[in-house]
This record gives sequence, C-alpha cells and structure tokens, in this order.
Amino acid sequence: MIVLKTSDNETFTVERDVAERSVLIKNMLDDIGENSEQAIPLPNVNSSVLKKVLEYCEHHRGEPLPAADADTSQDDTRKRTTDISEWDQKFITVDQEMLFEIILAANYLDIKSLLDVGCKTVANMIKGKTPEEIRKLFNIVNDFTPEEEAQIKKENEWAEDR
Amino acid sequence: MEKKLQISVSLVRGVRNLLQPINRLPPELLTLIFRQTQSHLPDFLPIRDLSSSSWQWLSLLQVCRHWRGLIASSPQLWSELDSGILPERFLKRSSAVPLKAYLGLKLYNLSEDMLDSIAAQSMRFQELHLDADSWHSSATIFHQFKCPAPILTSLTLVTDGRDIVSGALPQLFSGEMPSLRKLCLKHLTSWPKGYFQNLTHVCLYDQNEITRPTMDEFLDFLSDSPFLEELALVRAGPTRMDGAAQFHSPPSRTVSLPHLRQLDIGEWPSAPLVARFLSHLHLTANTDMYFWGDGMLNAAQPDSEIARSLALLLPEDISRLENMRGIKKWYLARQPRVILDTPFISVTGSADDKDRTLYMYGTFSASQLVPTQLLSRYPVSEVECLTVRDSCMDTDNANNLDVGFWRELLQGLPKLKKLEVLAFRSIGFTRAIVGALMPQSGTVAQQPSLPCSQLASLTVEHDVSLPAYCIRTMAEARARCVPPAARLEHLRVLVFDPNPQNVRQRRRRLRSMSISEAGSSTGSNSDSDETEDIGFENEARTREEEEYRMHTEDDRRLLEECVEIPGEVKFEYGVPLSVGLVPDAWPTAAYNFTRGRRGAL
Repeated sequence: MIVLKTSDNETFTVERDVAERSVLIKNMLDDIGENSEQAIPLPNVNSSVLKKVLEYCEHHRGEPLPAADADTSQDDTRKRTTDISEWDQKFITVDQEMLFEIILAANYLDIKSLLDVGCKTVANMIKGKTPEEIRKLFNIVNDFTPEEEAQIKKENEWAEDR
Repeated sequence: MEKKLQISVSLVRGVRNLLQPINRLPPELLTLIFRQTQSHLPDFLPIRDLSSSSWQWLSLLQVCRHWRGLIASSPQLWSELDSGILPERFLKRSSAVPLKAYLGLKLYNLSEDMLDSIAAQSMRFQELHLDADSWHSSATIFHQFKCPAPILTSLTLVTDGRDIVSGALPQLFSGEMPSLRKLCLKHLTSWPKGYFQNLTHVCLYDQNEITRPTMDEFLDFLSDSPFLEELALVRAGPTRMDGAAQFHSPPSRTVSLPHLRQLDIGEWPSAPLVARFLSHLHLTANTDMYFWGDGMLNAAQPDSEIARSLALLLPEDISRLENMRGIKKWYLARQPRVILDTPFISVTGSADDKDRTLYMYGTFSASQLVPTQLLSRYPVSEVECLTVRDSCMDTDNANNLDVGFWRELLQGLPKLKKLEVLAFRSIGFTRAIVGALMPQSGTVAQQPSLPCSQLASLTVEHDVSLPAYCIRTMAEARARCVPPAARLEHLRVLVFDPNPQNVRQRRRRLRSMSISEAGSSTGSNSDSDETEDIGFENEARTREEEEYRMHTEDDRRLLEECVEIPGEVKFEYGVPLSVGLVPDAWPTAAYNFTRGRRGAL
C-alpha cells in the first residue's frame, strides 16, 4: 500500500497499482524504492480533488497505460474524437471549479487519460456556442476595445457568405 | 483621452477575466482544450465535413483578449491548412510546425502566389490532400510541388485526369517522400519506379480501364509494400487482362500481405476478376474483406447463367486466404433495390474475440445463389449461426428461394445451432425454411435424415403470417428423430408490435370523440364528414390490431403447448425487426470516400 499526502495534510492509503496510474507517483516510487513507508507529498493537490482522482484511478486500474512517448499532436484522429465513455462522463459531471481542479491535478500527476477526459469535457462545453455564450458559460467579459472589435468584425467577413 | 479610457477599461476587464477558473489553467492546457474543439480529419481517406464546424473553432478568437493571444501564438492550432479557410493566416501562424494541407476542397480563389507559398513549405508537409481539378490546369498544380517532402506521411491526389496523359502521375516532390505511408490516388495508374514503397494504406479509385495495371505490374507494386494494412481498389486495380493470363490457371506468383487488416474491392467489372486477383494473394486470419458493386454481384453476364453466381467471387483454391477459414456466422439477406444501395459481400471478424462472419447482402437472384455452387466455394461447413432475410419475394426479381433451395443449403451447414429467419412482410419465406428443416424420409430401410441435427435455437419474425402450425409440426417431426437432449431448445418469436400505447391513445380518442358526438347531437349538426372518416378509419385499424393480437395469442398458445420444444418459447414485443444484417464497419471509409463524383475530398 502507498500513502499519499495532500496539500491540506490529509493522507490517503491506496494500492500501488491504483497510485501508479499517475506517472509522477510511479516515478517517485521507483526513486524511493519498494519498501519505503514514507508518505508521498502531493503539495499541488488538495484532499477533495485527490479523492476524485483516486476514484478515477481505481475504476481504470489494470487498463493499459498510454506509451510514455505517445505524441498527442499526431495521434490517430479516430482516437481524438470528443467521445467520452459513459462512466467517465458521469464521473466528470462536477461543477466547473472541480472540473478545472481535476484537469490541473491530472496534469500535475501526469495521468494522461484523465487529462484527456477533462479537456474533452471542457471542449464539449465550448463546441457549438457563440463567443457570447462561451463568455457567459465561463464568467468571462468582453474585454476588447471598440477598435479591436471592429478589427475582429473585419477579419470575420470571409466566413459570412459560407 | 477616450481611447485611453477604453484601453484602461479593457485592461481592468482583462484582469477580471484572468481570475476566472478557466483562465487559471496554464496556457498549454487551455491550448489542449482549444485543440479538442477543432474537428480533425483522419489522415487516410479524409472525408470532409463541409459544414461550418470545420472552422467554427475560430470564433474562440472573439471570446477575450487572453484567448485571442493564446490561440494566435499556438502554431499547433494552425497546422491544418485549408485552401478555403484563411490559408495565409494559417500558413503564417503555423510557424514551423508540420502541416496538414487540404488544397482545392472548396473552389476558393487561391492566388498563384499563395499556392507558391504553400508549395514552398513542402519540407513541412506531413499530409497533403489535393484536388487538382479545382485549378485551371491540374498538371501545372502537380509541378508546383517540386521540392522534397521528407516528413510527408499521407498523400491524397484527386483528379479526373483532364490534363493527365495515360494516367501517369507527373513529377511530385522530386520523388522524395521517404516517410510516405498512406496513399490515395484517383485516376492515376502509373508513376515513376520507386515512388511509392513501404506503404501501409493504399486507396486507388476511378482508374481508366485502359490504363489500369496488369496483374504482374500490380503485384510488383504490392510487393514493394509488405507492411500494407489497408488496401482499397474501387473501379481500379488489376482488372486488365495481360495477354497470357487465364482465369482458371493456377497463379504463377503470390504476394503475401501478413499485416493487411482490410481489403476493399468495389465495382470491378466482374466477379471472376476479383477471384483472379485473390488467387494471387496470401492473407492471414486478420484481414477483413469487403466486395461491392453491381457489376460484380448483380449484373447479368451474357454468356451463361452460371457466370452470375456469387461463388465466382472466390478462387477455386482458397487455402491461402486464411481469413476465410472457420466462418461461424452467416448473414444472407435479399433486399429489393428500393432499400438496397449497393450489393456487397464481406468477411469480417478476424480479431480473436469475434466470430468470423460472412455477410451477403443484395438483390440476388436465385441463379446467383445456387447452393451447390455457393457451398463449393464458401467454406461455411463450420457455420453455427445463420441469419436469413428475404424481402425480394414479391418483387420483379421474384425467383423465390423455395423449400428445395433451403433444403440443399442447410445440408451444407451440419453444425448449425442457431437459425434466425427475419421475414417481416415476406409472406411464405419462413414457411419455406421451416419446411426445409423437416426430416427427410429415406428409403424403407433407412432412418429419415435430419437437416442441421444440432439446431437448438430458432428465431422468427412475426407479422401477419406466422406459420405457427408449420413450426410446431416441424418441431414435433424433428423430435421423433433426435434424442431429447438434441431437440429444438429455444424458440423466439419477434412480434411486430403495433405500438400498444398508440392503440390505447386511439381508443381514448375514439371514446372522447363519441362523447363529444353524443354531447353535440342535441345541438347543431356540426360533425364534419372528415371527422367521421377519421373515426371509421381509426376504428377499423383498431379492430385489425385487435384481431392481429388475438391471432398472435393463439399462435403463442399453440407453440407453448408443444411439448417437443422442451426449452423456452418466447414471444418478444418491441424488438427492432430485421436489423444487424450488415457488419458494423459497413459502409467502409473507402466506400464512402470513393462513391461521390470526385471522391469525398
């Protein structure tokens, strides 16, 4: 069993193969050796987020990990659709704050598949929406100056007759 | 002053925006999300989505300054260049990253200068998908691409051959495309020697029949790509007969394609030409095959009836087609032309976890399906599950598949355990097959022979003519020939369901109508003829449905009482009828890509 310590000093005891879904943790374990009972500090992840992340790792334990040298920019299009499995969709149905925290944690912990699910979820939220709807969705305001607005409008003329 | 104020407001708003949760993500993660909002095409056979979704992601530039700056400075987001969508901007902003270029997709007025600028980036081309006929002179377009393309992995060239001589590909990238693995060519039939080697994906289509390669030439081409994974030949390939070639002589050479996952052959002039090509191939169990086209599977041949047989699609010797071994499932469907798009035959399910399955789907005539011929070529003796569908019985092509046909066919399936008869609205079809399952009486001294003695499960679709009595008689007759353990164990009847909810709703409507009629009868005579007609029509339909239900119940009782069906007799409602007759991957990407006039690019 592996002990993980979060930024808010909570500890989680998890099985090694679950924890090793995270490349960061796997590398740390490789470094400190098999028998260390020392808790692994995760200063960038708080307990509520780690709980969610571990839920994901637990569910996907045993699945093959993506190759370390997998080039995300060149991967097959069929694999890069914004389809998300049913379980993952349910898992990632959280409020925005938590969604972005999960993405950050997945990035920090180097869990590629979770990062992928998080990014696809946000992308799906964005797709098909107008700039104004996107702003509203993410509580962003229009910060362009009138001059920039005019420039943008001019830039977009090409798309109007399509 | 006003301008300064505007800038200040903009800055304050910008700071506020940066505090929002989404903008607290680091730039590389935001970029990753933006990339996911783009629609990406497959690198082989890139069927275009002509809707606005291909450039809709550009509206992200209008959300806020932070996003705009981030997107503008992320070259990866601009790496898919389309001649119809701001090519200058994409070329500039993609900086030095590898490019995927789609040129000529839309008839966009791409200037010569712009084309020169794009062609000059051939060192960066990772993919090039070019519809040469979008330009005035297609031959000139090819000449623009004269510098080497060292990282090019996928190339699509589409042309109707307007400016091409004898199907010959003009010089391209000085012949230097060392990384090229995926190739799709329309019309083009020849190229300088050594141009295309070590390919993994090949699609050739719409080649001029006169300039198509001979078998030897084409086998030479295949030999240069031993790692080929996908091969599609649609109205293209070695269909030209070389002088000495014979249809029936043993092949003088074979090419082994151990990595081939999918073979598509579409719309060749005749089935024997396909058989001839297959006789030169050695395929492993991992290859799925799809054959389609009227010429191969439907057209009448002038010489004889036998020339039309589906059996002629395969060579006599299929020992080198390892993917044909161990076929466990067979779907045989005759559909009239109104439903059917293109007839096809496929063998799929080569993966270890799936059963090898043979699909035949078309407006086949009885003479194309002569059982002895089919059974001699298609290795179906191991088939355990047969699904049949026939909705051609009452069409012009109504040379019915009668009891004799099915008897002969079923004799070739000794290991059949499960039979599905999807006969919705095909009167008499179920009856013919059930009749063929009856034991055949032999001579006085002999025991009656039992077709498909291992048959344990029968599924039939039921509409208005379920031959329940016929099924029961068959089950009883078979039971007399086999020990109890070998009797028909499961009988599923998939019932066409005239939606019970609709019946209830209609009843309610009729009732409310009659109430309102009663209420208004003392007043003015306001009921229109139309309402009356609808009322009668609904009533008639309801009565029909009630009758149908009563018949179904009678059939159910008749079959449930049959002690010779020791297992389950199940009448299922609400099951979609006559589905699952085609493989999951049909129509294939090659079929879709090549079916349009100029391909789908």
